[in-house]
Amino acid sequence: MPDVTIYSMDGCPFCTKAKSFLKEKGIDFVEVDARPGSKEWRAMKKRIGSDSLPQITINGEFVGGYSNMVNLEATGELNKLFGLAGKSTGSSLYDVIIIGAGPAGLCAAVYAARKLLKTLIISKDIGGQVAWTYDIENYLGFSQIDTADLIGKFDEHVEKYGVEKMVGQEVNALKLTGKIKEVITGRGEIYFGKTIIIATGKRPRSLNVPGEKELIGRGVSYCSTCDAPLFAGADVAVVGGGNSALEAVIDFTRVASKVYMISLTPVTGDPVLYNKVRDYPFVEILTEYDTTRVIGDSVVEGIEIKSIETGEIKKLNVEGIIIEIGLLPNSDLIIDTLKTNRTGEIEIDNKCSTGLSGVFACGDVTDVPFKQVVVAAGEGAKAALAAYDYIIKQK
Amino acid sequence: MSEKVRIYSTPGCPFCKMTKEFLSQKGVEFTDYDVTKDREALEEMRKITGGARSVPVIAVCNEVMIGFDPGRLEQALNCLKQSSEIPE
Repeated sequence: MPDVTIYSMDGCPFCTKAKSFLKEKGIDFVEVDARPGSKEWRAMKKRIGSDSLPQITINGEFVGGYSNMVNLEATGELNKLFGLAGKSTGSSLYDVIIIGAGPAGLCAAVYAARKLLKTLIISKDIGGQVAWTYDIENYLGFSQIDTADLIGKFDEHVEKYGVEKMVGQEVNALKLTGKIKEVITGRGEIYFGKTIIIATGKRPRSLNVPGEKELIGRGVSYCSTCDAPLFAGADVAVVGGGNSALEAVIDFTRVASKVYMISLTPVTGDPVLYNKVRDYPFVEILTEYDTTRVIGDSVVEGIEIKSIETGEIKKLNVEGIIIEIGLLPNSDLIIDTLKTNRTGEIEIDNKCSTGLSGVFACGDVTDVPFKQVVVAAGEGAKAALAAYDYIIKQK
Repeated sequence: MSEKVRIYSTPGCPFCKMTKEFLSQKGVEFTDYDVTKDREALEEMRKITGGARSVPVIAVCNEVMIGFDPGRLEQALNCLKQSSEIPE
């Protein structure tokens, strides 16, 4: 065990914090009452050249005050000084469990770790929706960065603080109403947290029609830039009426021989894109048609649509169906527990609180407007700081 | 095809890129087939998947996956460890 001394006095809040921090880590220490003006205080001042309290020494080596110790802990240096191999595991109760590892969740992790909160991230992937794009041109500090590189940098930053991460894990259930929250994963493992940060983002909306799920990857696609080249010379249908749908149509005009655009509403995308699409001779736009079925056994063979006005049913022979009908928040697990708006986004206040004590949310799963990487990251920081405030007040 | 890990991809596909990054980080060797340039690979991809029209398609040992699912891929990669532990 290392020889740890703390110079402190009663009534000094950072002395109390430093002592409880050492106790929680299971480190024995010698306490020296070094009230300013006392003999001990003068000796301390002479020895280490500082007169503020607390001051901590490890094996005679001067470490500094509480904040110096916290910084050392955040980088893992402190464990080395204490002679502890790796991070101490401590109790299995986390201060904060972050669900999701997009910009919001990862930024929350950095902020939580820097507040020395025992932090766990559970996520099915790293990067979230950012990973769906190829590069980013509007994240401060990077006029153009490859998405994978940016996510790599985010991940590296989190790694630096030794946050526990469980990637490739689905969360099956959440128990949020008690003081200690429970997260139950797809593998049936249970994790306990004093606070939860929900940063689960959004996913592409699906049509929910027969045949769609069964034929994903077999003609049904949600990523036109990925899959368009696989439909060379084929007839395809793009479902949707917004900008993403129009962009998908443009992607397909380069390869397909016929492109149907099927929209439930009149086209809502930007006129610039719409005019471009309308000019293609082999694009047929069918507005106010509901998609009712994906046809095909092992691969897509067609699509069934129904006119909203007349009820007439049409079958189009297509080999590909690209679905671009917007995004849905991944809020299914909490839809009965937390307040959501009519699109299913979690309603939060300006401190990322969901209204349920100890439960915070950030990023695209929330009702915060402007779904941008930089906004999500900022919201993640706020959620972690709010969780920290909450934990401090509980003590 | 003798390669243990094969990935069929297109250049504009972020999920393909993620898959490749994922494999590289784990130090797994793989062969990448750009199906927009390699017709034979495209046909091979469609054959082993029973007609997939989506990338990435990842073939690990005897398992074929459509799409990047890190959890599933990680599990599939176990077959590589097992075969390297048993001397041939």
